[in-house]
Amino acid sequence: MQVGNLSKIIASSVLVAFLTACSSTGETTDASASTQASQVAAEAAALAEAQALKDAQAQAAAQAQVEAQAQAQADANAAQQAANDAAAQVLAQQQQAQDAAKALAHVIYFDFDQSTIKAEFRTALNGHAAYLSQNPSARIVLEGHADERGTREYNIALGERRGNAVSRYLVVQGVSVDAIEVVSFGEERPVNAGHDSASLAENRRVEVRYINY
Amino acid sequence: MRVNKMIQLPQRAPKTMSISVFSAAVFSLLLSFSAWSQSLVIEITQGVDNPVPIAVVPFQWSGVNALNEDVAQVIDADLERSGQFKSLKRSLMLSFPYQKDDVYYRDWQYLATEYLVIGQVLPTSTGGYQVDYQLFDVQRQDAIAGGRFSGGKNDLRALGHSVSDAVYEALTGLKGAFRTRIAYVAADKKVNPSYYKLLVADADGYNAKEILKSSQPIMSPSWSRDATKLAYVSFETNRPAIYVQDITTGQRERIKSFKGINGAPAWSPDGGKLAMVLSKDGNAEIYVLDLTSKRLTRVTKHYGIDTEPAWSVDGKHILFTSDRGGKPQIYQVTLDSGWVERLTFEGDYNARGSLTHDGRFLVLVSRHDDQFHIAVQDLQRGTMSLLTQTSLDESPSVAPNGSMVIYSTQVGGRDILAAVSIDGKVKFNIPANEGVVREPAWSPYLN
Repeated sequence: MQVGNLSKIIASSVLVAFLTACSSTGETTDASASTQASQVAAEAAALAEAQALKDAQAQAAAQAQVEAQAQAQADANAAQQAANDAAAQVLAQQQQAQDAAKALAHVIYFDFDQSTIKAEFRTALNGHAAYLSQNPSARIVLEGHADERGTREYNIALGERRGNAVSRYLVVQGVSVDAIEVVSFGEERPVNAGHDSASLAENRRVEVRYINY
Repeated sequence: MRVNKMIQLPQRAPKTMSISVFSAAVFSLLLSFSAWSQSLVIEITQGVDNPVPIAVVPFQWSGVNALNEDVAQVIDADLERSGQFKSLKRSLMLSFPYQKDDVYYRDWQYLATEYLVIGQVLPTSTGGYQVDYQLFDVQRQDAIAGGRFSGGKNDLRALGHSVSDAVYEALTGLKGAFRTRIAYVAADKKVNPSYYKLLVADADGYNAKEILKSSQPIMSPSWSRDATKLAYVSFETNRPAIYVQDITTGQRERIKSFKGINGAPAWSPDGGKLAMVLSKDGNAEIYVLDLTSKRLTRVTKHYGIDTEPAWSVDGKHILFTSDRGGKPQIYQVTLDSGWVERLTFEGDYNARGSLTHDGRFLVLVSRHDDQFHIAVQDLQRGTMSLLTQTSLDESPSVAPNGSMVIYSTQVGGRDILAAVSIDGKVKFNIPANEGVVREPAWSPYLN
């Protein structure tokens, strides 16, 4: 299309130059006049061609600029899209990790007057440790609890000892101390109001509570 | 139930009591029952084998309006609750003397009464009351003691308790602790919203007053020496902190809220310091806070649990529970030197020790056959004896005269308060009519 326009411009310029040359020589048909006319026409044609080229160049440049801009925009859009896609993927991964952390056991149980972490809870704690070390802004509270047997303030200390045992386990796995707070409620907040040994066992626990993920 | 304890009005009304005053008295009594709905009810479950027979005659009232309290009934209940006295029913009394000249010893000898209490209530010019009493030895036909107490218009029960204290002291040689209070924690998880409350009641369970209500646990009330303030632990911020609250004005102050444990506050005998447990330095340790200078001094230093501080009578030592030997036992630290010695050796769980006013007996929680009992160790003889046979007994608190220990136990799966004499012979239960009650703290003598 651009080339077509240009050839039209050149063709019309040549025609104009030829007609001009003809008119300036009148009805004369001698060779010198004819030569002169064709020279003028050639000059005019050359001039027109140069002008046309210049115009074409300018237009091409403008066009190129528009094209470049469009390309840049397209590139930027693509980059944005890619970034968005990546972020979404990270978010999805994060959500997945968070969901995985949420799916882990959040309650660790203990024997009477004991704060030893039993082997069966290591998998869950390892999972929490992995999540916490990969998500440095995540924060947890370890709530220590005891059953109703024994004295209340001793049980507060016992609940804290259990919380500290879990905290130490996580820190050894690479979790920052700053991500963990231990709060003991002793025997004051039982989850099971029963007094049989199964109920008591449910109350001797540390609850892993996420403040933020 | 409280209603069952409605007093029996004298069958032979004193001369000055008109019929209209009589019915007004019944009416005001009925009114006062509603105010008792939160009170504790005392059920005596065990007394001494041969309680001393005593008669407390209805006190004469010479005022115009009916009294809303029966002073003689208050005294009667106090003496019965000690387990050491058996009071004579009013319906069996042959006369209602209120002054010495009207006492016919022969009547009381006939009823096998050994001691007789009579008295009268008089209005004071300031709108309060004056209570005069006299105590007689029926066998010897002689007055043993007598006196006068006065107070404001709401002090009638308190004046009755003062008479009980005086009578008890005259007959036992031990200062009475009837005019004292108990602080305790109540909780109800079955209501919505569930709650924790800190309450203060008279030692006989009357006049229960709410000090604090929270959706989070409240623990470890401890009385100031002048019985005007309570230190306690509240989790109202989702973390434990120690507060001190004036029980009259309600004004309170947060004393300590370090990271970790802030627990087990215990007022020193001189009233100027507060022992407490903090875990800010790693694990549960005993500290002493000077309430004037605000200086905090660390007392124990051990990787084991150190908790439940209790002061010696002279304020130079602190008893505490520690599992530094593997299992919880009671230890004592000398504050000047830091010297620690172990006090309990019998059994593998001894905790929450405190001393009687004379420093002779160590009252504690002790586990035997997997059951937690209240026990007492004679520090002179080194012998330990169990005061209770129930399980899950905890939080013993000794009356300021060392006669009784109030504690919490479980009956039918519910926490209730109970009391036992230091010799284990007298027991009574103090069930609440709602929720559970626990962690009783017996106040010092009231000023």
